[in-house]
Amino acid sequence: MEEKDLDDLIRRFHSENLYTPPVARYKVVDLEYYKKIYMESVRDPCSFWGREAEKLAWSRKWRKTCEGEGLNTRWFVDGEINVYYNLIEKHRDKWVWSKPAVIWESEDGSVRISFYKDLYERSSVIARALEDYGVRRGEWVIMYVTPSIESLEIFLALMRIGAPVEFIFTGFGYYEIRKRIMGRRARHIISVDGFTRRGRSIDLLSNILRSVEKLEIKNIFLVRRIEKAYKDDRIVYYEDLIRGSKHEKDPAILNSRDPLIGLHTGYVEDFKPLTHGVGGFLVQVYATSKWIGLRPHDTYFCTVWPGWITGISYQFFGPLMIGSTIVFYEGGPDQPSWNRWWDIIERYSVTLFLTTGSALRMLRRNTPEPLKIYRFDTLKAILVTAEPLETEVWEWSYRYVGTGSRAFITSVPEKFSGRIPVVNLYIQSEIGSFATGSLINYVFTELSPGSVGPPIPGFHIDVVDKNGNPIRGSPGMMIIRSPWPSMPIEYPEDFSLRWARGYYETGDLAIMSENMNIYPLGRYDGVMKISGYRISPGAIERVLREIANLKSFRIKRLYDDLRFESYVVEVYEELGEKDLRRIIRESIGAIAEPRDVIVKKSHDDSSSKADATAI
Amino acid sequence: MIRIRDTILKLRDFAGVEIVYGGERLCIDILYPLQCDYILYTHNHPRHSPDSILLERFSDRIYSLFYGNKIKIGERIKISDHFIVESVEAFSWRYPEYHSRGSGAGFIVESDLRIYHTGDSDLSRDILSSVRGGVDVLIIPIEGLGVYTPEEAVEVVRSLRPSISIPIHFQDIDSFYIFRDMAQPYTQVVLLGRERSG
Repeated sequence: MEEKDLDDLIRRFHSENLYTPPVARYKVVDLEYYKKIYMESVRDPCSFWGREAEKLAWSRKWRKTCEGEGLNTRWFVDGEINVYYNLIEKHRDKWVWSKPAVIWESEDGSVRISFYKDLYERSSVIARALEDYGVRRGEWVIMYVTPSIESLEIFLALMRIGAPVEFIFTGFGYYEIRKRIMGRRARHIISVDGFTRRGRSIDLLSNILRSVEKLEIKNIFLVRRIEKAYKDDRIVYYEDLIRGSKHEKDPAILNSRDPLIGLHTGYVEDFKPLTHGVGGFLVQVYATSKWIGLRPHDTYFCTVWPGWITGISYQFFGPLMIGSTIVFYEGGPDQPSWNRWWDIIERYSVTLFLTTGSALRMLRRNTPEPLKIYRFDTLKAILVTAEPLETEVWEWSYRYVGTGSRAFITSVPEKFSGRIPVVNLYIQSEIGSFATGSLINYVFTELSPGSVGPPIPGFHIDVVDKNGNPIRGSPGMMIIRSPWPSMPIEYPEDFSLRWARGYYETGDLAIMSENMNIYPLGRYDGVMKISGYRISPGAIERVLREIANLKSFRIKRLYDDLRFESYVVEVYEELGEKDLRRIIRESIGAIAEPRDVIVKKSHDDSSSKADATAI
Repeated sequence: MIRIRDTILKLRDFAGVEIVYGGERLCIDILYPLQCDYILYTHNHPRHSPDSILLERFSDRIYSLFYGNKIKIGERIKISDHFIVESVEAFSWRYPEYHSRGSGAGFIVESDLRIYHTGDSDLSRDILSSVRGGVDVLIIPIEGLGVYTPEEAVEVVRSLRPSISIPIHFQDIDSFYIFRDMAQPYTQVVLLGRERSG
């Protein structure tokens, strides 16, 4: 990266300003107190996380909290846990049981509500049906779903059976789906036939059917949304899964090291599989869900879909374990207008709103003025994740979304002076949960725009130079010095190579200030961060070479003021722009479409093989 | 429109609700109830019940204190395989000239949910104590003479702890915000759009 570009990034994403939002005035802890708590946690992370693990219900307590070192650390050794119990059954006999678990809204305005006890009843019935169809404990199942009550019920049924789930974001195309099905040797797929987004019917089943051609898939369990007729003997509709009676078998009790969830994340060469184990993942997600502010009384709207780690951890696991009400919205944010998410926050009295930096940039562009017709007084915080957040986007969110209409201590609604915290949090698929951020329900430190806050206790995070020496106030590599409970139990070589120096290199460039606030500036390893998604340049190269049959092309990564990053493809008249875009969209997905395609007239004959440059 | 379990709820007119369950449609305080299989009226006021011509036309389907199939306060009747209805008191002690005791009712409708439409009332211990058993959905007026203020409606929420609360009977959106911001920790407040019947 050129020095000029880096200076520009620092200007956009780094600020030394500190804010104490009025509602958090009596919550904020001073830096010394934070450091005391934090240093204690990272001095002995085993004991720290062991105490957090005690807060879950274990069927058999672990023999050792952690053993081994670095990459080879094992957590909660020989512990056994009932995932289903910890997700839902534990709420039985408590008030949570009869409260709404999910409020689901589709783009056309249909609304459904399901209570906790309903999720339990339905998932028990579905678990039995899935077993009858051959779904087995320990056998990977693919979930290619939108956020919906049905997909959550089926997910819970899989947790009851003890079947690990590979989540695939619905923005991925057939080629990427196929790779994941084959990689996991999955025989069962859960999907939705489609959904409406931005007024258009998105056909997901076609992607699935194309991805499973000539594969030995037993069943495609399908939730109907767009009612398109398909003929395929492998399709089992959701309605058939809920006809039977409840499961009589007890929910599965799994070993702490058993696989729980999988996802493919972007590395330079390709998207590669990671597996999180049961014990560590649940401990981290439960603890961090509480710390970011979730309580049973909360109504929580998370706009990140399952398929990305935030959506998996904080849409499907965390809120259920806490007993909060989750709002699912299945549609585009701009339908019928860019006010859709604001309407949802108002209509369902949302108390905690989690979204991405890209989404806030889009909302700011399309609703730049103060949102005077809305009253967001139920909101207690806005949580942001997935990518670096410009200081001015943070300011806009704090003032225009976060002020509310009623004065609170020093807030002045007429001046949009800010009232509630806008908390930016750092997450990565390999980590499994948020790892930095000012914690509303734990150690809440002053907020600094552009920052993802200080490290969360238990995560020994540092920013270092090439030699591993800590640096403060200027850019360096963001690392994690000690293992964390949800270290992947299966991972590609890329992950192990990142441990080569005795600590884990996240691949992110960041500034860490003296007060421990961290300001991410993007990836330094070549992976692109597009709208919060980690996109592998290698995967794009492969598609261009193997599917588009391009001999010569260039990929150039760019800063993008809406999506954080994007890229340009240069091709030499072998393929038109329309076809190139279509191939990328169908194979990888719409999320990986280039910003621009430049078709050059002269062909460089000296290059008979792919000439792809990932910057 | 909202679907909870297999019950669909739609707000109609000023203070009405249409409840669809098992293929049947039960309506409360709907002014033009042509599509309704069973029609409940909380009291005989213009924004709550239709004129005498319509009352006459639909009389065999109507259940109320004042017209059609008479239902007494405290009475619990099975009106179909899908609906059980219980009538509870609804009155205003502050403005008896609008809603005197004995002139109106609230209804608890049982489908696969327990839905309590309070009717036009203000806060009374007698009314709260007459509602026995849990309430899944509370449909409650929050503005007007002789009905709950937003703050009083919150007291009903705090007493009954319904899973979901849907405010009705208001024109000033501020009433909704007051109710929402105070009630939300004790229930799930949902703002539903209203449609006209007929």
